Amino acid sequence: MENFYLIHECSKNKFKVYLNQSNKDLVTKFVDINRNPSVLKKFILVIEAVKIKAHNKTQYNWEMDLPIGSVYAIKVDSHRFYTLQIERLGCRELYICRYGKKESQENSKKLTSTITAIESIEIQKILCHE
Amino acid sequence: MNNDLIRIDFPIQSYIENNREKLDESLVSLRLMKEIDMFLDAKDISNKLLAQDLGYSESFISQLMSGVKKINTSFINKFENNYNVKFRFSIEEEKEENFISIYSMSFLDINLNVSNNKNFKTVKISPEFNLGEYTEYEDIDNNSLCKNII
Repeated sequence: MENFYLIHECSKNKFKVYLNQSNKDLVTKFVDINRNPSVLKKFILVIEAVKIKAHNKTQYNWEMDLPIGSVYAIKVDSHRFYTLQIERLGCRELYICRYGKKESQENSKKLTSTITAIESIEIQKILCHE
Repeated sequence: MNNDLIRIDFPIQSYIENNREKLDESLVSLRLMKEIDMFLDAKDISNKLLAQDLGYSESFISQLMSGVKKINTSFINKFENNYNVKFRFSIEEEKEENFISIYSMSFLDINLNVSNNKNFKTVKISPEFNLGEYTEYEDIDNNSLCKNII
C-alpha cells in the first residue's frame, strides 16, 4: 500500500492531484523542484493545463493504458513524473506515482519497468492538502 | 519503498492562488499551442522540424510548448504562411457544464448550453420521469411542450 496525499483540487473542473509520498525518489525530486521557482512554475503549468485540457505532448505525454486508467508522463525539463490518470463519473484524478529521468545517452536506464510497475501499486488516498 | 516517510507539504495550491493571473496568461497561450500540437501530430511534424521551418530555435518551441514563453502574432503569421493554413478565432461565452438539478417534485433547472444570453431554462415535467429516458416537459420560458432525453 502506498500513501497518496491530495496536493491540489479544483471543484470547478472536477480535478484532483495526488502525490505518492511513499516513494523516496519521487519525494526527493519534489523537494528539489519546490526549491527551484522556474521548474516549479513549469510543473504547475502542466497541472493547470491538464486541468483545463489545454496540455500538449511536450508537457503531458501518454505512455500506456491500464485497466483502471492511463499512465502519462508529466514532463518538466529532463524530469519525468509518471502519473496514473483515472477518470470516473466526470472527475479526473491524477496520481503522481514514480519519478524517472528522461532517457538520454547519459541516462540509458529503461523507463519501461518504471511505467509498468505503476499497474501493481495499491493506492491509499489521504484526503488533505495545505 | 518506505511507508513511514513524513508527509511533506508542497505549496501547489498557494502558488496557484498567488499567481492566478500569470498562470491564466500562459494558459491562453497553451490553448493555442494545443491546436498547433494537434496539427503537428496529424502532419507528423516534430518540434525540431517546426523550429527549422519557422526559423526559430528548438529551445524557443520547447518554451512555447511548456508555457514559459507565450505565443505571439509573429509566430502565428509564420506558422500560417509556412503551412498554408489559417487560424480561426471565435469568442464564446464560458459555459457551465450540463447539469440537471431537481428543486421540487415537478420542476427542474436545466442548463442547455445552447443559448447565448439565457443558459438556464425552467421546465415542468411529469413527476414520474426517469433520468435518461425520453420525457415530455413543458418549457415555461417559451410556453411550449418539448420531448427530449433528460
